[in-house]
Formats: sequence, structure tokens, C-alpha cells
Amino acid sequence: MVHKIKFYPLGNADSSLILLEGGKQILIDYANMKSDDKDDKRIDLPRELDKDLNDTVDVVVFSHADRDHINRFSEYFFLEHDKQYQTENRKKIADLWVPAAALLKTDKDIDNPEAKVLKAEIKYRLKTGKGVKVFSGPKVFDNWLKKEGINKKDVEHLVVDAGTLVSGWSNKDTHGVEFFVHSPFEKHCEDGVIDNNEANLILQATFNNAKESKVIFGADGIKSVWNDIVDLTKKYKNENRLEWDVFHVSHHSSYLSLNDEKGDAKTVPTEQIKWMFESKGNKGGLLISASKEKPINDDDDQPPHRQAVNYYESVAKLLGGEFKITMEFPSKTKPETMVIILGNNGAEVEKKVTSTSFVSSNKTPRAGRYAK
Amino acid sequence: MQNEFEILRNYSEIPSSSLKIERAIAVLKAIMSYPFAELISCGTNGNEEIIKIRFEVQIPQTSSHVQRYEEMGIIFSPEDNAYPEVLSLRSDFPEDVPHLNLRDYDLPKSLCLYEIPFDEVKLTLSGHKLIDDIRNWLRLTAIGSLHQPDQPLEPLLVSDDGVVFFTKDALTTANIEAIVLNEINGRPFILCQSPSAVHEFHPYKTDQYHAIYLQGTAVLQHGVISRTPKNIGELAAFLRKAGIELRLTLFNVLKMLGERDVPANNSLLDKKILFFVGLPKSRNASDNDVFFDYYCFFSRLTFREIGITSGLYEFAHGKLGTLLIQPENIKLDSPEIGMMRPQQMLSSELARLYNRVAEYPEKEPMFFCIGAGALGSHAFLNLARSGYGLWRIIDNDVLLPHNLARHAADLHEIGRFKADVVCAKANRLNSNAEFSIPIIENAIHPKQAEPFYNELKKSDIVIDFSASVAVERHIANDSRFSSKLITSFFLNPRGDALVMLKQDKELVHPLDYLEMQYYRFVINENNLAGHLDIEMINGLRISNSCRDISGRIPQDAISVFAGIASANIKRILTNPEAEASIWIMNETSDITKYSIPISKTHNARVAGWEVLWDDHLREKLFSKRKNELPNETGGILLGAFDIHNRKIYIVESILSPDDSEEYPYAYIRGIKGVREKLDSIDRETAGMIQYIGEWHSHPEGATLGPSDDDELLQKWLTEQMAKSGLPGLMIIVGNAEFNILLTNAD
Repeated sequence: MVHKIKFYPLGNADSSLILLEGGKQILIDYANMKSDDKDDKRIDLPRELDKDLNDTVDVVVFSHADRDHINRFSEYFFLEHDKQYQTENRKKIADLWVPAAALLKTDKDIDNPEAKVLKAEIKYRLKTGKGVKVFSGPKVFDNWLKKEGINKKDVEHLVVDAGTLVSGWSNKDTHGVEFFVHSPFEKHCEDGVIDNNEANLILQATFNNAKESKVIFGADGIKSVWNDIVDLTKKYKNENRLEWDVFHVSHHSSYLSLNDEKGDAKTVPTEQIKWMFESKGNKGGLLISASKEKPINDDDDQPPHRQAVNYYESVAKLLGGEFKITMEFPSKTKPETMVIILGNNGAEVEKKVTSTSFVSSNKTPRAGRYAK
Repeated sequence: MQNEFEILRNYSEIPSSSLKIERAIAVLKAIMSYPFAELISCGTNGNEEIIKIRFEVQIPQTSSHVQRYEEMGIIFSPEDNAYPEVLSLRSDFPEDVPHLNLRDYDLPKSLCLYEIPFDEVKLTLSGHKLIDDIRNWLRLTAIGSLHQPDQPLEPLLVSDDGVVFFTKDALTTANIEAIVLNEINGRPFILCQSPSAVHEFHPYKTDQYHAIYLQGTAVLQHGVISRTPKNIGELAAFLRKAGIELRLTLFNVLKMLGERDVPANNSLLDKKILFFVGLPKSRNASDNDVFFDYYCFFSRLTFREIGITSGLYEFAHGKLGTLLIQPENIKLDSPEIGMMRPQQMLSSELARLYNRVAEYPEKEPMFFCIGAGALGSHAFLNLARSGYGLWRIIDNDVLLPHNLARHAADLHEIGRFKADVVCAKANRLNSNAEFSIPIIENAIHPKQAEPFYNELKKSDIVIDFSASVAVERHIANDSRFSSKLITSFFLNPRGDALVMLKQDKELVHPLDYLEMQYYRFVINENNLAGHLDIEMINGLRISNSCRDISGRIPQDAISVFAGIASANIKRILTNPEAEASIWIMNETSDITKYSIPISKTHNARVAGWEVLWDDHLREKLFSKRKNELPNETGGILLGAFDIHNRKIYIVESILSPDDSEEYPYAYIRGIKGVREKLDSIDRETAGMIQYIGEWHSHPEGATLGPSDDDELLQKWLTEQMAKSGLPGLMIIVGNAEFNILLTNAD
């Protein structure tokens, strides 16, 4: 079995596409960041996705509703709740996976209009009782359901709790992969303010190749979330669910996903996080940072942080693996889609140089004379 | 530039802009825009240039030997007449991976990227491609896929001071014969064979070399020979690691030869030595499959000369004497040796590999092949070159000079039996005397019936290349043959078509009735007009049967059709269903295949004859009857009588001619167009299909028994047919059945 995951160079933004050998497609996050600036090296995401995606995508996951994970999604997808999102050539979503926070935030707490559209779509799908999975503890909904006049029994099957396998994807032999949910758990969505970065949808995927490749999609999980995840996972003796061959590191290599202190040369992670990276990473493991280039100094507050990157690089070295940054692959001057192959020999970063790929991936520049 | 490798010490670092060799510049340009390669430095030794590059390799989690980053040096020569030398700059680069070049030095390791001549690769070898190919070599080595399973297990590139051909069994015989076949620029081409081998190389010299086979005792994963040994002393040092005491062996031989008064020694003393070495090896520690790496070295000196230079022999008073000296004290570092490239002789197994025989049964299929003429000889030798099957070739024809126009034989084989000739060729090709055995017999009347039928009994498949209807009918009717899978191949008289008739094992479609269905197809398929025309030149028949191949057929056609036949023979076992096909080649060499429709065959025994027909004919008669209801209808039955085997084949009908009279209770068959039609069928089938009787239908509700009129008709018919010595055949056709009336004369 050979499955693939594609990571796209989008700056500090996320989109990963899982292509299963059996044909199923799972897209995790969609953030079209490309500007009109001709020096913008970020990839044209919709055009890149069009090369692979079927008319209907089997699963689209939004790890949370921040701009760098959902930007301009409403231009690309066919949304069921409103006719204006149903024009031609939009990709349909068979199943939409979202953390409860994307639904429960009140409109006045949402400053991103795309997040409002997403919230409306989730609500619509919940009401129709299909095509959506909301990730959270079951109690979190009670108030909301009551307010919306929805019978809890009608939507129970659409709610996925942390610490479980996602229904329909609970046996890797069915479609080629199974998903285990690490976050969000109930305490992330208790009444009061919901911090998106705390209420992220974090998944571990296990693939059915000979190596049983394990991939953790870390979204924007921050230190406290990871500490909780490790503690809970150990408590329930689910340690193998934190094992990894590929780790999509959190929050564009922000030190805040490792610890509160940045550190001088290298961020020192919390005990839990250190254990997860250094003891649960398999030999030759790959760490992928969906982020801008590694900075040479600390001038920018925004990730990636040099010290966090240094830590991840040390993990790669320890495991004999690799750490790759999307905006540096294959080169800083011309980043391209990164393909991770999950074959029977394990995970590998595809390093193919295809000089003729332009023929089928780009239109030629304009030719011929034309009068103004 | 810091060089830890001796051979790189002469290179001094230069700026990349100073490179002069075009290929080096091309590689430099390529890496400038190549994301997974990084320039380390450039250098020159005044003549050659070197580029050192750090490669990023694509490797998965499970991999070995190769690291994620590998530093390599590429050496370019200004002549650009050989591959750039690609060297690993890592001193611990593994030496037990396949596809390394053997060099005069241990380190650095030299990658063997290509198996084909540089001139071929040169056509497309851009700087970019060279970089790609190096990275690919590294990647495939990392995942252990570089050495493809279909590649032979010998080391690929070793020094090339000569070539030695060998069979493995020859090595284990006591007296290996070493035959010098050729010598090109001082490089000998030597064949090593056992004295009993099937090869005959009489014109060649056998007195130059004496071969000694040395087999290692220790199974190793790491290669023993990591660079080319230049003299016997170096070779002995290498072989010790594999448990071979070359020094001692050679000492003993020299000592034995040095004994005086043994006349046989004199001739041996003047021979050079061929050291054939077999080193047991496994792919990895857990692998129980042991295979052998073969190496061969030849000495440039004779035993006598080696004895002298080693200090063991001494010339005194014109005579050779042996000194008292211990094995460890003989000097072996001056006798130079050359390293030869060992090449295994073709075996059936290798031949199958090279012929891409995908599906081959575990039990070798045994073929009983009748006919070793033009088509048969070429088709059989195609299969021999594929190492396919074990064969009995049945033919009692002698090869005549005119046969050479198309037969696979050579002039020096005329006067011999064709079967002997082709079997000898096939066995030589496979280095196997058992591959095929000639049986000099007539397939219909074997003189030594018992051994003949014993061999037949052992066979799985009968192939008929006899080009004889009689042979085909015989094997179709003799259950000793017909219980096998039988396939007949023959050419039409003018040689532009090959016909294949393949009988199934269950005999649902017997071979002789397939023949009839073939004729029916010829009659009805417009594109086959003239297919069976017997060629007339100046009023002379140059061929005289419907499948004669001693006519004037170009060898081109024989060659093409023999290829089609042999390809189809390989499919018989995997596809044992009945099949009837015609391949036709036109003037511009386009080939069209026609699949002849075959339908289920039925038979009945009537009046001492076996009558055969098929569903196709039945349906034709039934539907004609139905169409004409309530009237009766009828027509003429076409087919063939086989008087020898007492069979009547009904295959086709001329339906009620226009001037026939059809009534609800009577039918009178007309004659309009009948003569013309019969003549044309006679012509189209070379007389194989003819008038054989009459049929008519009975209306609904009537029995299939003959009426008074029918009996009169049958009597008349029998009288008419009796004039040709044939029985009267009439069929009465009802709704879903018919009644066969057959009356023999007197």
C-alpha cells in the first residue's frame, strides 16, 4: 500500500491533502493565501488542489476556524446552506469535520467573515442530520441544541469525542487509514471564552501500509493542549496513539507549542512534549512545518521561531529523520508542493525533479501579437 | 582541497568558473538549479576535472547503506570517451552493495550507473540526467532495489582482461576443458566446459590453459574481492578470506608437476593457468539462499614459468628441478594475472528469463512435436531459444539441399535427419542434451511402435507441424493422441496465411471437426477468397495439397508465421480452450488475424459411420425450416467423407435453390445455381468440401420418420452416391431435432 500526503507552501498557513491508494481523499484545512504580488512565492492552492481533488471530497477537516486554516474556503467549496456558494465547478464536501468551537462561538466573538460562513454551514448540516462531524465532548452541545430546538438524539451520531476513533474511519483496512482524535476535549469548550488554539482538532492517522505509518496532524496546538493530550493519553494507556512517523508540527513552529519560554538557542519543551517527540517518534521520522522560512534572528514575533525550529531539527537528527519547512522545499527560491510517500518502507519525502512537469501544470505564457 | 583518498590527491581546487571540460560544465550548471544537490568544490589534475557534490537522497524510514546526504566526486576526462567516474567521498561507503565498479584501489568506491555502452548513454546524458541517475542509484541502493530480481547474480562489472563462458556443472567436473575461442587485442575469450558437454568446438585450441576450480567454504555477505588483484600473491590473499588456500593448492600442483619422468607433466607445464573461483554469498545475514559469485583469473605465465619465478623450480644442466622450500616461502607476487568477465552459458532457465516467459509451469511441459520442416524447425527453435518445454521431435525426413531455402538447418547438415539436426541445435542452445530428443519415425506408421508410444504417453501436448491432412486426421482419431492437448499449425498453399487449430482436452471441439469449421469459414468469409487456391505456374502445380509448404514460399513468411506459432504454443497451457485462427499477411506485410467461430460438435453413429455436425449447422437448418412453414423446404448438405476413418462431416448447406418446389406436404429440391456454387466451394476449399447429401424439412405435427416419398428419394440418392463409392445421406429436419438417414450401397 502506498498512500500520499501533500503539504502546500502557503507561508504560515495550513493545508494538507491525504490521498489514499484506494482513492479516498481527505483534505485537512484550506487556506488560500496567494496574493497578486508576483514575488509572492506561496502556491496557488485552488489550482494545486484541482490537480488531485475529485468533484466531491470525501472528508474536509477544518482543524479550527482561524484565518490561516480556512482562508477563502467559501470561494472553493460548494456549501449547502446558501445558494450563493453553489455556483459551478465548486468542490462538494461529503463529510465536514470541525471542532465544536467553530459552531459554538457567538457571532459577535467572530471577527473573520469566513468563520461565520463555516459556522452557518456546520449548523445547516447538523440540522439536516448528515455530512458533518463535530468534535467535542457530548455535554458541550446541550445548551446550544436546546436553543436551536434540535433533539439531541438526532445529532448524537454526528458528535465525536476525544480519545476515540472517528466512526467510519475506525479501521485502517476499510479505506487505508484510521483516525484517532486527541483534541478537542470537553474542557476546551466549557462555557465562557473559547480560544481557538485550545480547541483545535488534533488527529493521529494510522495507515495500512506494511509499516503502519502514523501521522500526527498537530494543527495549532499550544503547550497546555499538548501537555493535556500526553497526560490523558497516558492515563488511558493509549500511548501508541502518540507514536509517529510523520509529525505535522503545531502552529508553524511556534515556540508556544513547546513551552512558555522561547529559550536562547533552542526551545526546551515540557516533559510531556519532549516525551512525545523523542520517545514516540519512530526511526527516520519526518517533521513537517507548514510555515515561512526559518528566520535568522528573533526580530519577528510571529512563528516560525528559530529556537523551536532548532528543537525540531534536533529531534530529526536524533531519529535519523528529517525536518522540512514547506516554504523551503525544495528550495527557498521556488517552494513547491511537498509530497510525503507512505509506502511499505515507511515515510519518505519525495525528492523528484521533473523538469517537464510544467507542460501539464502551467498554461504557457501568451504567444502571438495582439493589437491594443 | 582536502583529500583522504590517494587517487584524489593530485587534484587541486579551482574556482568553478575555471572548469574547461564541457561535460563538467554541464553538470555544474545542472546543480546550480537542482534543489537536491549542492556544490562542494571543483578541482583539476591538469588533465581531468573533478566536481564534488553533496546530494540529498530520497530515502524512506526503512533503508540501509545510504545516508540522507551523500558526498560524491565526479571525475571528467577531456576526451569524454568513457563514463565520468562517480566516486563516493565517504570512506565507510558500503562495499557489499551491488553495482560498484571494481577498481585497482579499495577506496573510494566507484558507482556503476549504467550497463550499456557510454556511446549509447551519451546521446541523452545531460548534466541534469547524470545528477538524477546518481541520486537514483543512491535511492535504489538504499531500499535494496537496484539489483533487479531478473538480473543475473554475477557481479556486473569487473575488470575486463578477457571473457570466460561457463556452465556451472562444468566447474564441478574433474577435468574442465578450457577452449580458447578467440583473442581480441590480447583479451582471450575462453569456454570452460566439461569434457562430456554437448558443445562441439573442434577447430579451437584446447592446449593453452589448464583450468582449476576453487570453491570458497565460508559464506560471506561482504564481497571478498574489493579491487582487482594484479598478481597471484594478491589473489591468494583475497581468497584466504573465503577459506581458499590458493598458495597451498598452487604449491602442490607445481610440486607434482615438477616431478621428473612423468611425460604427461611436460604438456601441462607449458600451459597457463585459469583460476576459476566460486564464492558462496548470501544477500543478507538472515537469507538462507546461498548463491555464488564467480570470478575467473588467468595467469600470463605458464606453470613452468611460475614455478621458476616462485623460486620452487630451478634449471640445472638443462633440466628442471624442484627445490626444498615451504609453501609459505614461494614468491607469488610477480606472476601477473588478468581478471576475466565470467558469463554463464545460456541455460533453459536463463533463456526463459531473457525471453520474458512469464508463466511457466513447475513441471516442465513435454511436447510431442510432429514435423521438423520449414515452419516446424523455425517455430521449434524459437521455443528452444526461450528455453521453453522439453521436446520430442518426430520426423523421418532427410534434409535436402533445396530445404535450406527455408529450413533452419545449415549446409553441413544436409543428408542428416531433420529431427536430428534441429534437436542438436536446440540442445546446444540450452546447454542441455535432454532438452529435445529426435524420434526418426513416420507419425502414422512408427516402425518401433513401443518406444514411440511410450514417449507420446509421457508428453502433455501434441504439436502438429506435419502439413499433412492425413497426420492431422490420424492424431484426431487415435485416442493415444487425441487424449492430449493437440494443436495443428499449417500454412496455406501460397504461404500467405498461417492456420492454427487447437483442440481442447475435453474434446468438445475435436481437431478434425475444427478443420471442417475452418473450411466453412473460408467459404463464407469474403476476405479469404483464394485462400486455398492451389498455385499453378506455367500450367504446373508446384504444390499439390491444400497445406503444402514445399512450394515457393518466401522465408520472410516462414519466419513471421513461425514466430506466431511459437508464441501461441507458449499460450496453450495457460489457455487450453479450443481455438481456430488464421493469420494472413498481405503484400505490405500487414497481418490480420481471423478468429474462426467454433460451435459445439455433435456426433451419432449411423450405419457403420460416425456422422458429425455442429450447432451452427443445426441452427441453420432449423431456422430455414421455420421460415418456410407451413411449407416444407430443404437443400444440399456439404461436408466431407473420411472413408479411412469412416466419418462423415456435415458443415454447411446450400439452402433451397430458387427453382425448388415447396409445398405443405412435399419438397422438390431445384438445381438453379447449384453447379456454380459447388464448383466455387470446391475451388475455395481445394476440394476438401463437397456435396455429401440432401436434407428437407417436415412440417409441424409430422414425424421425423421417412414418408413413402422420402424412401424413394433416399433410394435414388443412394444409387447416385454409390457410383462414387459413397453412402446416401439424407436428413429430415423437424422442430428441434433431425433424423439422419444413411444407406450404404448394396
